[in-house]
Amino acid sequence: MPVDAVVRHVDVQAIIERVDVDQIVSRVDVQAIIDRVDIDGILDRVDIDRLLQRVDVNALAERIDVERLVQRTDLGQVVLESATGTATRILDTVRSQGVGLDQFMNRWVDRVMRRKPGDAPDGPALLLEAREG
Amino acid sequence: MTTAIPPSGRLFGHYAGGVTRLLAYGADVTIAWFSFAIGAAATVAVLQLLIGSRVELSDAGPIGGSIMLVLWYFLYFFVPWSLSGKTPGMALLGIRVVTRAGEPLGRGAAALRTLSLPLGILTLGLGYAGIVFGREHRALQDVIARTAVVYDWDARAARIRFLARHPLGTHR
Repeated sequence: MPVDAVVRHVDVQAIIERVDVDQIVSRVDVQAIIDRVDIDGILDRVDIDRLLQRVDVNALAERIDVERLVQRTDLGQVVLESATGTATRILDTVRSQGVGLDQFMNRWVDRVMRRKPGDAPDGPALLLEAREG
Repeated sequence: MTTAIPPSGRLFGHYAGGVTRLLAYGADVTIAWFSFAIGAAATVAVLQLLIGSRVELSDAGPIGGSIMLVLWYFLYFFVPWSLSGKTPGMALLGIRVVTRAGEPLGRGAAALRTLSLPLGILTLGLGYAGIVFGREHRALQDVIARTAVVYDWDARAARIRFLARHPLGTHR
């Protein structure tokens, strides 16, 4: 009898259902397989430049929460040591207070004049375009 | 002075508000007056050395003194605006004058803006109403010289410096 005809009569699904796959997997020495794989060899064959070209680095950078990073890591200390003289600190405070009061006043004027918040332009078009790069 | 958290958004290029502009103007008037007084005193001292006799500031007379003061005020605003778009007071508060479109100020616009600066006071303050109520926060001198005043400091960098000074949970 030809082998094909025999195979046609075999219920493969029934055989698979009788096999204890978990038991087989538990007997496999995965570590030994990994040890036999030449990872360096695989990496040597990877074109990192081509890979990086496909990554949107800007989108990746946008996802980094810089403020949290500064507060939770030594990066904050680095920033602090490099850019926080007394003059800088005073300037930052005075300017921030000024902007806070500006925004407070603008909100009230918008309310009194029944303007929708954000309805007015933020600034001259050329500067805003330049800022967005 | 209470601690103010710098704004989270990017401010650069946004129209500057009335409080910041008022603070900058106050700083400029103060700086201009003190620098005039110091300059006048220094000039008198140099003249006394050169001439060898006593010279008084009042020798210039009230009209002469006023002309010198007005001229000094003109130069104080015109020169920095035409060079960098910001006077010392504006640099302190982080704002800058640009054309209405957002380009650097030319000499003509800087001169026109300086000459029209007193109109705000001469109109009993009405010339400044646009800063508070206008959509582009432009005063009368801005309308005449076709200029606008914008924020010119890196608020985001200031915020990062603030957060570096105040680790998580130590500020509101």
